[in-house]
Amino acid sequence: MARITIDGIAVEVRDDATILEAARKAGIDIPYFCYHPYLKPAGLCRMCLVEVEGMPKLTPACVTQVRDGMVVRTDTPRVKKAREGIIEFQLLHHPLDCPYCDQAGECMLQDITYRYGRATSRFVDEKELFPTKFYGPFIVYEQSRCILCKRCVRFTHEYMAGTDWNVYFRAAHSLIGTYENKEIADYFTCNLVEICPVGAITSRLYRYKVRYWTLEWARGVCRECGLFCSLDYGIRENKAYRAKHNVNSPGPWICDKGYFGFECMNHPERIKFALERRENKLVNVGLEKVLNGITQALGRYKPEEVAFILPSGLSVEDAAGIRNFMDNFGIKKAEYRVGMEDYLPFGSNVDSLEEISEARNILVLSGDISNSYPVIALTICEAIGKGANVVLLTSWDYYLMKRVNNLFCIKPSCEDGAIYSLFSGKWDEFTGLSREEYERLEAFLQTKPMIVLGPRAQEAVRALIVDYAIKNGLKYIILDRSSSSYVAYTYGLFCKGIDSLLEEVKAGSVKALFVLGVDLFREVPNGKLVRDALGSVDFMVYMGLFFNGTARYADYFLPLTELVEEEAHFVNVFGKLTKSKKSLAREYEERSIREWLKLISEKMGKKLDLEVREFKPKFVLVEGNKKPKDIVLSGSGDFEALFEIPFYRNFRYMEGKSKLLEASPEPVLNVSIYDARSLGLSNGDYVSLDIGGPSFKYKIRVFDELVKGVLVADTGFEGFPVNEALNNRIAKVKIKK
Amino acid sequence: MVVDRSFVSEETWAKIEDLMGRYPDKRSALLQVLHVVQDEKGYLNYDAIKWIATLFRLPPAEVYSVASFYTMYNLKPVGKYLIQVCTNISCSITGADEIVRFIEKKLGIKVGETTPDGKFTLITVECLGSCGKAPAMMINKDYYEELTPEKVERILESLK
Ligand code: SF4
Ligand code: SF4
Ligand code: FES
Ligand code: FES
Repeated sequence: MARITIDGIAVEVRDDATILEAARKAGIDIPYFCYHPYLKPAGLCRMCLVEVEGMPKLTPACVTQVRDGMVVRTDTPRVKKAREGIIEFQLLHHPLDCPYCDQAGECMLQDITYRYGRATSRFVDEKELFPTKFYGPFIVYEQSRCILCKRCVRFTHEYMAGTDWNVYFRAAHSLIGTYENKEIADYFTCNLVEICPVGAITSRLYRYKVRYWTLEWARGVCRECGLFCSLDYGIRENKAYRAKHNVNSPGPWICDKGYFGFECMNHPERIKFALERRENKLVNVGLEKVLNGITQALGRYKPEEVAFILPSGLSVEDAAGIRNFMDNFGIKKAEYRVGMEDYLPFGSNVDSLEEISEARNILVLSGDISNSYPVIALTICEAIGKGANVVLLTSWDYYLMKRVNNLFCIKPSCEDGAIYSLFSGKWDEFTGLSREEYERLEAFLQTKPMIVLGPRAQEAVRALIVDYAIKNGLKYIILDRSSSSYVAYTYGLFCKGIDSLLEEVKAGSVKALFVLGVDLFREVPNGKLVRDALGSVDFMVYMGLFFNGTARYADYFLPLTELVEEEAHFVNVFGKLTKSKKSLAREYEERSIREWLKLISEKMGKKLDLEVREFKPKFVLVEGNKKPKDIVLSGSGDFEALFEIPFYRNFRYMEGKSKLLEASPEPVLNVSIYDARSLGLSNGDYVSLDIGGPSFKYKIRVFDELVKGVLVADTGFEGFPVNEALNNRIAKVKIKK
Repeated sequence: MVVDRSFVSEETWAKIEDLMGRYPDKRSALLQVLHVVQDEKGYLNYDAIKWIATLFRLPPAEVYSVASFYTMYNLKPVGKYLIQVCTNISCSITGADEIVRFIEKKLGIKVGETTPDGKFTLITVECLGSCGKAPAMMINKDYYEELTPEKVERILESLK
């Protein structure tokens, strides 16, 4: 520990602390631009100059380490003059356009100028102004406002394991941007907006919408993945305009899904009334009639003929409500595992993102982690930046494949087999790994890496890894496609998997369905089965925000609340609880899942208790002695295709998130560089994909890291029912030019 | 990724190999390799930058950042003769502005432009280190000092 005095105040700090950190601890304000608590110090902006006794010149506080006995002064005329000078230089070419700048009110340049700057400018010459640049759908860059603190560039380098984002040219002409002015939609683009201390990078969703100081902030939770990042939503007149990371989040950064995803709350097409089917239309007949209709219909079925299908992002309260409702009426069937047939167990013995970032060796298996748990992928990249050795064995992970130190890319159908063979210690040539590759992986396993298993892996693989990790004392995180796993598992809201449930619907043994907020056509890999099942379902209640493919089959539509419209608790992958407050008043008839169930239950004469007294998340372990199921590929053709929903479409209530969808405007087909060459294809070409019957039009993206013979095709597009022609995520296909 | 050698001539490739072999950290050769490629191509476009990036295993953005930082790399096509007139303090005092205006008039182009026949490009630069003999300019790699409009006229004539 070192003891130093700043402006006469004594403070004790770690030996490797900087003067700026010490000052923050002592409660003394030293202005800064380029310093950021989560970035490495850079000493670029010189805003933090202070006087240190014994040093002839002023010194930047953010990069100067403390020494025991150091005496620092921030209140001398020299420091004052230096601050005024720095600000005057920063403002030389600044357009002073605060009146219409979106950052105004939360701008460090404004605040610091107000506090430490001169009141007037001595600059009389003409200012040089630069044009506005739009880098993709999310961010806009105003070069004239940029103070070149490089926070944004350092973020992309330190956390995103290098991207195209950089500084070009120099001095007054310095320009921040992407190579070749490419669009940037890189999963974590929103952090550039948040980290920029001035109005140089701002969000296009928020552009010119509302002034910062008119917003009130409401604490909420992002429900897009199992991290349940804690976010603050900027509210004005009962409407949300902004999202912002807050310190309760598991990590210092969030992803675009959370940042731009609140848009669905305000969407003009959102349904806010309970609807009943009349002939071929859902119409508003009044709440009473809807409730009567539902209760009467339910009375016709035996409990075993009723089932629930649950969304991801389920809150503890909703899960408890569903459980009590089911118990009230003896209903047994519910399923939350919608995106895949079986994926138990899940869970981890890692406690925080920080633990991931500190790991020296990480073995990442299967996919698609960056799509389903974005911030975990970002943290893995952070670890790479800190020198960790990250090995990835997968067939597809858009974000991580380009960033890890060692990539073992295999065919999608080999993924489970390869992982299984690695952990059971038996090499097998059918896994797509050469013996040499297998040995390298095995050697890496000997370093006791942290294991991160992606949501694509099936049950036997999951069980084997948990088993191995526990026996050998490894850290592991086993991820799940649905973020509801903790609560749904704890309340027993699962049966034998979505496929068998839909089979029962198809066969008529389940007649009445409650589908809560999921569009089955989009999320269930076996699209054929969904069509058959919904076609033969007798009675269906759909709860959600928007009308969609699944809602088309509903007899009743009940509007739900979302995000800060209800109070709720969530359990994240580390087993921790986060809370979302209710900050928006109900506008029409929208309610939470549990409130609807309570209304229905009471109408049927049974009280529904909604209070959650105690919640202890349960975690499953399954014996690790099963063999992975063989993957039977349907279709025919020379290519093996993996069908996945792309990042910018993979979220709840996709229909209402237009901004995010702009980053994924049309279905893309990723092709390996070898196949692209032999077929004469290049980026942006269109091909049609023949999946044995119908064919679908795709835009080509050549992806260098893919293995030969493998295609990765987007699904999840409106009016593009490719998965309705599939019965699995993987299929054999043909390409036609 | 594989480097496509045929992007440059054999001669240039030999120079690049030599340069890259000189340093323990390959990256140290970046500035010189940028020069060598520019010498052959005349300027560094996105393709050239990308090619060099692959060679050094760096992100193209990084290489572009370096190339755009230094004014001696041309990111756009330039004429056969690149005229760089110094307009820094010593040259300004001794009449650089007049020289610039003279050349603009003589060639019928503005600073930053190239003559339609692709022969001359005119730009202004910071101190060329010839303050003692200001005003100064550079045409390609040659220095011309103590300039007057008459002297410039003669120089331009000789380059036709
Ligand atoms: S864009 Fe913002 S964060 Fe990036 S260098 Fe400029 S001012 Fe700093
Ligand atoms: S990482 Fe997950 S919880 Fe966090 S913002 Fe992204 S989608 Fe939401
Ligand atoms: S904050 Fe210290 S130099 Fe920028
Ligand atoms: S100022 Fe022109 S050469 Fe130095």
